[in-house]
Amino acid sequence: MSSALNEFLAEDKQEWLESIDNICTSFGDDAVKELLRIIQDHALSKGIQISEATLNTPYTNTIPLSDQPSYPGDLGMEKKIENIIRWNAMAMVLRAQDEGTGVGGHIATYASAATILEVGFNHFFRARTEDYGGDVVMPQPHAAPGIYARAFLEGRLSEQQLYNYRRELGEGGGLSSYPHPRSMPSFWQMPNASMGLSTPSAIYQARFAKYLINRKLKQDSGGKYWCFIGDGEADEPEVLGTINIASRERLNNLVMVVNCNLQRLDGPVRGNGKVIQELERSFRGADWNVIKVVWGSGWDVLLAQDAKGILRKRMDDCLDGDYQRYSILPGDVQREHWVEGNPELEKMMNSLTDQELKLIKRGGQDVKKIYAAYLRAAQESNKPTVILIKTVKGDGMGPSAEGRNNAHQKKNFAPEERIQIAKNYGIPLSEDAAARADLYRPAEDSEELRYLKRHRKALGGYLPSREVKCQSIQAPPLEFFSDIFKGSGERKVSTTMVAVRILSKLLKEKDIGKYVVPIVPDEARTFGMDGLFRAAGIYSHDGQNYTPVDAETLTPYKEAKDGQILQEGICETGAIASFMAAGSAYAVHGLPMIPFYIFYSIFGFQRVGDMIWGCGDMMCRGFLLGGTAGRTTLNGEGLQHQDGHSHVLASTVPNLVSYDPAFGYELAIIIRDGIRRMYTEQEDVFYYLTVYNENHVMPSLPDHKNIVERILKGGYCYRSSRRDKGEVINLLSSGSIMQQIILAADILEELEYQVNIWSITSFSELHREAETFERWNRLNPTGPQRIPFVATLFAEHKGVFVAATDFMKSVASSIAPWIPGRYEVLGTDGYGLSESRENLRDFFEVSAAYIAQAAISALYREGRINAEVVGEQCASLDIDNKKREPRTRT
Amino acid sequence: MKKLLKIPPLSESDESIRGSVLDIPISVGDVVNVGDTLLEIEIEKVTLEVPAEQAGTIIDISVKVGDEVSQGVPFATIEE
Repeated sequence: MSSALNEFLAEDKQEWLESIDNICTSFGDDAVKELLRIIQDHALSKGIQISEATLNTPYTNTIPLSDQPSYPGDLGMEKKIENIIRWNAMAMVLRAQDEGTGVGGHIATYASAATILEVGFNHFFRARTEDYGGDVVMPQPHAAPGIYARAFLEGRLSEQQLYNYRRELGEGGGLSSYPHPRSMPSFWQMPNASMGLSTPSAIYQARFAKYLINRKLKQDSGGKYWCFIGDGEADEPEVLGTINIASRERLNNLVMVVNCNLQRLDGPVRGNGKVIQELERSFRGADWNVIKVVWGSGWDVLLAQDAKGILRKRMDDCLDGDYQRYSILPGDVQREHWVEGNPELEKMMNSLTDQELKLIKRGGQDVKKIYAAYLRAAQESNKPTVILIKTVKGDGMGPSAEGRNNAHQKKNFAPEERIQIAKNYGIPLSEDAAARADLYRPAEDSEELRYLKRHRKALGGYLPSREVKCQSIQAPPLEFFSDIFKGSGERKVSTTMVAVRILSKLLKEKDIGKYVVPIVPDEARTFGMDGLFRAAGIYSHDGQNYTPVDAETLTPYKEAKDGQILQEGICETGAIASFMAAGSAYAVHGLPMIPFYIFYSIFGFQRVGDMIWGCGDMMCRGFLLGGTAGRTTLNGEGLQHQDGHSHVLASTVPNLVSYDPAFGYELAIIIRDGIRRMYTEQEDVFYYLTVYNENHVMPSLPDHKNIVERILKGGYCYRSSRRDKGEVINLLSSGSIMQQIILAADILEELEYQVNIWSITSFSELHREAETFERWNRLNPTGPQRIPFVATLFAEHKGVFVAATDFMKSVASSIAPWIPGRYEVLGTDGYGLSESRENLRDFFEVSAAYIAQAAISALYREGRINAEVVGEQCASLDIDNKKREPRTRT
Repeated sequence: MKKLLKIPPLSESDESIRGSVLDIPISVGDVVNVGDTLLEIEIEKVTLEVPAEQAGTIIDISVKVGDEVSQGVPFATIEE
């Protein structure tokens, strides 16, 4: 800034400010806003860019001292409790290191977050009670030791469990590294692993609570989602990429707290900038309520004296990299750098000794500042709130870690450091015990524990805590689907159309219809779901304040406050986060919500696989429907869209039950049983079903013995050979390629073979059950051996076996060990390409001709037919046996 | 008073679009309420439900399952 400008500002700034004060006094806040808007518009019209200025406030606390409420707690007692928790959180990590098991652990994150969490636990986080909906608290995963340490003081976790941190199989029970409901189902509410996913999870949980309230399924009795993330974590695109919906939906039940310790794992988050200011711009731009907690009370007096704004300017100018450095510098060096030769600032800072300067806290180390921010967040009425809190990484860990770039990795301390830290925290352990990193728990009747418990009792109970209280609901009887069991007659329909019909029927079912939650990421019309809009409505917090362009049709784009469909727009992360929220509602809200999330199958696991893994962790229930499935069935769309591997990825999720149905009746039977298992029997599984867009005649439910059971177990004989002579060929398939199998069977029967057709509804389920039995047999070789269903299915059948699906060969190959004969597997390994369905099936070698050729080839290689027959029969199939392997196409 | 019920617009922009009657969940003599489904029509991959816009008794049905219909085609008569 030039000296002339400085001079101008020094003289005229005060006059400008007084003018604004006068306007405010005379006409109120709105007048000031309007005036500033006029000035801003004028500046913009001159081409002056001021975007940063309009989105940023000064680098000071949002809540001035004058608005700061008095602190309701006992500061000394709370500090004592916090220090005990800090010590125990560190001790459990140190113990894990001392035992040499190499299980790792982190100390610095909780050290930076301890105070901001303690204020919440002592004064804000409310448990679910009869008259309160309950808060969900999502701490930073690396701060988990602190949450465990608090639960230890509360008496909810044992000493043994803490000593077995990161050793879940340890004697007496252990603790998971991070928040994993699956590992600790009565403790952790939400899964979290520091990778940015807790933000969309929290946002969509908060939004789903509103959805339930607006649909009158849940009382509006309060309940906030407190989500703590790191400043470095905010670089994950899922964080800032999903914040807009929170303000659009006015999620005043959501509080995000960003622990701005200025450091990520390797170094500063924004050494050359200011992460708090950057995040403020993003959240303010997204219309959140932003509260900054930058400075501790020690700065209040200095800021009050800063009439000329010298100190504020220095605070604004100083970079995060320098702030981090100050946390390790002695007071005198810090002062020298801070004042930068500015005599006025130097004079102002001279009111503090070097030691006092060194001890001045950041906002995140000051309970009063944190309390003020939380209180305002709790009171905010029409927006989500983000609180940006400045902390110190490794606070209290001593000079070898505090504020250092290696703080995150620091998981061990020398004995003398441990002793010193224990002393600093006031932990009454002997030096030997401190060096051993013993845990410390005050007596049950100590003031500390009584204080801690009293405050939790006043807030409704302990958190985090996961308690499932949800009614069982009955699946509809099989007869409910009788129209689907009749087949489609001469009409050609796709399994997607059948899925939508099932959904439509379930939405109208008198007992469970209200619990059904259709979820789509802006592809409802692709899947033929627009017919549901009118009856079910699309959920909109605002209802519908306009007349839709298609209002007069049977498929109006009907938005409604009590709409049932969640139309998530083009946001796969948001859609799967909604699935997570709906699928976990049985635990979070005690409501058996049944989500049906339908999406382009390729944009499921490979796009949001981490979130699906999180759904498994959270024991979500519901149905994932991979639409437009199949590498060759979805034609024309090409490499990015054609899915031939989602079933491979689905098989990696242990509690995900996957099916690839070929016919409408299979789909109905599977969905019905899924509802039974998840919502009647309360099994912790969820479902992945692929549905296709190829239209064909849907047969009626065959009148076979045990067909329902076999469909569910994974396979059945769809059609036995219509011939009683000839070599035997068994054709296996699933999904849409079943149509090619049926054509191939016709070709092969023309060639006088006996052909059995097997519908394999789930290679995955067959494989899993077989693996379970094989494991048992391996561990118990001398006892009675268990025979898996897949082995019994084919036990009486001779001949060769050929499987073909629209997925990678590994899917069907998974049952190879239990096939009693030569087994040829065809699949769609390779990138998709833009082509017609017919050409795609020839290209990937899953067409009827290739299936027939594979069967003939198998018979020859088994010595059942001679080369002459092979030559004759294959000639008519028009197979190019020298063509390039599809997987290697360039 | 009797009223002839006609197929409403099936498409936002194409009046000529035709669908086939998939299901007729009502019978002559049935009393229906506003919002009850009178007819299910399939157009390409979408199943549309034709809702009753007024309550009354169905006294005639002039289509059958499988018939092709389009906007404006009469399909039933209702008496208030």
